[in-house]
Amino acid sequence: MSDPNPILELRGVGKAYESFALRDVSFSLPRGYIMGLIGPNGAGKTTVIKMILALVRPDAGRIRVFGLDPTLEGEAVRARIGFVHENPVFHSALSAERAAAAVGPFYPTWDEAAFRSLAKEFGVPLSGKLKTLSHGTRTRFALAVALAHNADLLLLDEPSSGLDPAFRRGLLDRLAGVIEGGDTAVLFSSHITSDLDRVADYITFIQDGVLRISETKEEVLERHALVKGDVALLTEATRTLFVGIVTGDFGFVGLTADVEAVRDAFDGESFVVDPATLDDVVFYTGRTGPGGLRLHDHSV
Amino acid sequence: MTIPSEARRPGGGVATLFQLIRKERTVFTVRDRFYVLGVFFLASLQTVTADEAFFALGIALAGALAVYVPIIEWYQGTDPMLHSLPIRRGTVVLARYLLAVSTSGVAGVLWVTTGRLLLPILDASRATPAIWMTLEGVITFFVFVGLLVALFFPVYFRLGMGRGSLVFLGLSVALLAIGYATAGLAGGPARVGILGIPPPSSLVLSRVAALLGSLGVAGTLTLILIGLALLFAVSLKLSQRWFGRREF
Repeated sequence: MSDPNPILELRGVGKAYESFALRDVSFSLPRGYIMGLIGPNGAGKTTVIKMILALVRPDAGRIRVFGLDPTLEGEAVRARIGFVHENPVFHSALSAERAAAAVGPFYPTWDEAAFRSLAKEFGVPLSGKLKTLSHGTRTRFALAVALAHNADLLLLDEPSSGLDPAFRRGLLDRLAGVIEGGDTAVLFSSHITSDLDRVADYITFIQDGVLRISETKEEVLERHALVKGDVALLTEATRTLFVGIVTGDFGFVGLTADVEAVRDAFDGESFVVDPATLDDVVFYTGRTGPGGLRLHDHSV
Repeated sequence: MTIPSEARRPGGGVATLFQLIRKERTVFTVRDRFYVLGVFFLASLQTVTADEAFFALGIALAGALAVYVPIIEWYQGTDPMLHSLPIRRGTVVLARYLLAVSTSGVAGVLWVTTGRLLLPILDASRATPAIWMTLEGVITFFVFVGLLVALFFPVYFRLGMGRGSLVFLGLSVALLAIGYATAGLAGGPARVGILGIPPPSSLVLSRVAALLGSLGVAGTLTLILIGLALLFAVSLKLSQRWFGRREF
């Protein structure tokens, strides 16, 4: 990521809570790209998003959004961000139309006509009280609000949860369309790796508050591979070549980030190397602890 | 009225301030307003002839109108949504104070109007609340409402509605105890409250009456307004400072 003026940049960001700490998170997102933020529940994804919005103040490091510090210039930053919370909560006694009228005009670039058009397209009943709408429809409403003010950065926290597959796919296509002009960027967190596979240009993987991966999707997929072979191949030395390993009666399957080293180590032995999917990378990387230390092999 | 510097800063402009006030009014739906006012009028029928209870009801109405939206937002969990909008925290605080001042005015008018309408209709011969339907009674009402709002908001903005309400309740009880003790020590008027001892409102009422006698209406109002303005200025600054540190 060599963009000298990324739309979003985190450097050494940390935040400590009583039972959880986010440590030394660094990544940047250039304009015109989509970054998928992935990690298990409680990994720190929402904390990262909240720090970008200045809802939470970092204890360490620095965050720049549009070159601005959100803790000092939060309003200027938030004016250019379209945000969808993982559990979108608006004033439930209001209709979708009134709720949008209550929050939309805070954005200097709010486009009422665009909102109405998006709400219609997303199937959000404008006269329906928000409390009567399903979680999925409230998420659609939040997406319509987030997309209706020409935001430069879309921050979507688990936007696809609660959405049906057809709408989810349409949303992903729309996100791909949003960045076409090259000025907008999207950061969205998701558990669904197929969504990231479809549209993400960058992948940032956080686990237990530690940044494990932040690269282009191509780099992630090119660097990683699945290796299958007999368990007898696994020695103390060869195990270190794997990010994560699953063993069973059939043998082992391991994810490596250094295929050539594995080929050298297993030279002359019988083994298979397959391309890794994003799902594989997340699954196997998630089986290791901070700093890449293997917590345990996962046996099946 | 001079707009505080908070409202003139970028992102915290007057337009944002008015938009916030409009948003708060939208959240306080017409149906909810009817509910609050309905409860007030029904309770008025029971308390209008009961001295301190009617005074307390008026204070409760002012408090309910001032904190209705913060309670709704806390209950519905909309704080993260609100603070993800391009609004300064200080402007949110300022809007809530301005609304509280205006709704307190509305509560005062409703309280006095209700009292004046109901007292002649009901058995007014044994009703002492008529003493509140006087200038010193109304001034006393606004002094108490001002104290209530100026105390509640910093606690709420520092601790949130859940813990803040408990702390505020504790502080209120402590202040009431001090008020009763002071009223008792001061000898107070012969009138006794629901606890069988002179209530603090009686002490304030008699002091306001004395001020009106010595300073006249203009002098008393000026003094009271300056006092309340200073109290609100300190309260507002504390609220803005504490709310700026809150995380959502």
